[in-house]
Amino acid sequence: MKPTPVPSPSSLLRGALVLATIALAPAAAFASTAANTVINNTASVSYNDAGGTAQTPVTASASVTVTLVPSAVTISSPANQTIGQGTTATLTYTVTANANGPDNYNLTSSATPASVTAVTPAFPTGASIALGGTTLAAAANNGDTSISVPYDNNVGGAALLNGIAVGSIVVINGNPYAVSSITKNSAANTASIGLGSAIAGGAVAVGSVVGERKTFTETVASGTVTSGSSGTQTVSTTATSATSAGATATQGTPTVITVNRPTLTVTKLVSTDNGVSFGPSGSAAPGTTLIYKITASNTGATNASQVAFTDVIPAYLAYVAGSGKFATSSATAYGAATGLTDGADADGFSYTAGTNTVAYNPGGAAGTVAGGGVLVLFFEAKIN
Amino acid sequence: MKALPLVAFALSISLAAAAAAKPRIVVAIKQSKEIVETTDAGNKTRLVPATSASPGEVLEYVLSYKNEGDEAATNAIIEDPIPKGTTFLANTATGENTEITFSSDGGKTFAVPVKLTYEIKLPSGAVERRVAIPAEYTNVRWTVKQIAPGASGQVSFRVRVN
Repeated sequence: MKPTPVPSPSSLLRGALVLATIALAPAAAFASTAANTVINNTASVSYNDAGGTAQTPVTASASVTVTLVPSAVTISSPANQTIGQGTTATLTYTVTANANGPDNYNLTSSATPASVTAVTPAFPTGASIALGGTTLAAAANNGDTSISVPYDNNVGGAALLNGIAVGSIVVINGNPYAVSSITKNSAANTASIGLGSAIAGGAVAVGSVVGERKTFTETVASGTVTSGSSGTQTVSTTATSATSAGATATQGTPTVITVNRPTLTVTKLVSTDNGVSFGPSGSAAPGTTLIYKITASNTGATNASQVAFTDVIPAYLAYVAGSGKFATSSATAYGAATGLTDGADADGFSYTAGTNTVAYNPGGAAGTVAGGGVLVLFFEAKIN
Repeated sequence: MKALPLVAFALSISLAAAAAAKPRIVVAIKQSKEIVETTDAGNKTRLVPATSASPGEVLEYVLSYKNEGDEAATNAIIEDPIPKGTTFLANTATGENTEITFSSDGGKTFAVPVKLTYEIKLPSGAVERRVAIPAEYTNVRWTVKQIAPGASGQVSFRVRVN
């Protein structure tokens, strides 16, 4: 072949065939160079004088810095959760960079409510996350405990290599590795990243992305259930490159947060036979001591807290001092229930003579009725 | 006055050196990248000077040479290793009145493309000699037989950033 500046038709044809060959070579097609890599080109000219004596060669250099190609992160889909109304769900996301250099990613999230009031998700550690990234300068093989990547020209300082620091987690070919060391070699235009564990899962081609992985948390308040005993907040979170809005990724499966609210029902029964049987009504002679049984049942699926009872004792009845008792099972008999004291003290039970009122407001754990649970209050009153 | 003839002798040597005709080649590199302009008439590519590029972009290197001496330079060899981090693009090496050869072994041997071969072992066990594809080129070399005083020229090639 005699080279000419204008390609002949035959060389054009051959060029097309050669290009087709390149396109089939996957290593060339998917190779990528890290951002901030400086590509140096040094040309040299050696020549002789007219007499054939070699002269001192001359050189010229030019360099190009490789730019960031913003890329969408890989973002996880946290598992569904169930929370009680009035509490807050905490979702932990994992994001992994797929870019050839460091970038910041802005976080946005929406919660779509169903049978619950709307809420706005929050990012307690900030609505932006920085992720480093580089690429392999040489293929990585099974068992390697360090990888070679391009030198980053010290952009971001000596401690960072394209945003990656000692202690960072980097993902190579889908597998995470802890970074144990970073050694830069500006003369060789490369850097070495030590890994806490050996490369596994097969050889990784030169040019493959080494992307930093981080986690962030997001909090989603329950809102208030508007109908039925539960509602849902369907959460969808997106991370978008601060450099390019087109490089954006949203969690693949939205996270459904089920919000349960407590539902209390109350029944009041009376016993005229000293607790043998309880019924909604009965008849008894004056002087009989009645046992009242007030049951608060939580038919919802989540805790009801601060459950409090108030009962004004009707006319013709006298409260029997010290008769207050409570139980957490509707099967517990009065005799087996736990005693309460009348005075204003820690057990939350009191009898106020002036208003003839029995009150029970234990608060805390004692005042919390789990979903499906009950809190029973007993007291005695005597017919005048 | 024994020193005087020595001084005169040294002077005459330097005069002779200055008077001797010599070639003096200077070389410069210009780098640019291919950008695609989207217009109503369709996509159009053009080259712009570049100091930065993204992976996948095409860079063109133009090497300009000139003989600023007063004697012809002979057998000038312009050599450029394909920059690390880039891949040579087929049929992009140009150079008027030059012989262009390529190396696929880091500059140890050079040959014209059809003769640039390598051996590969086939699954059958047979060894086949194949023509190196341009993506495997490691060096480009332009040989210019003679560059007259004051003469200049340029050679170029393109690569894709990996």
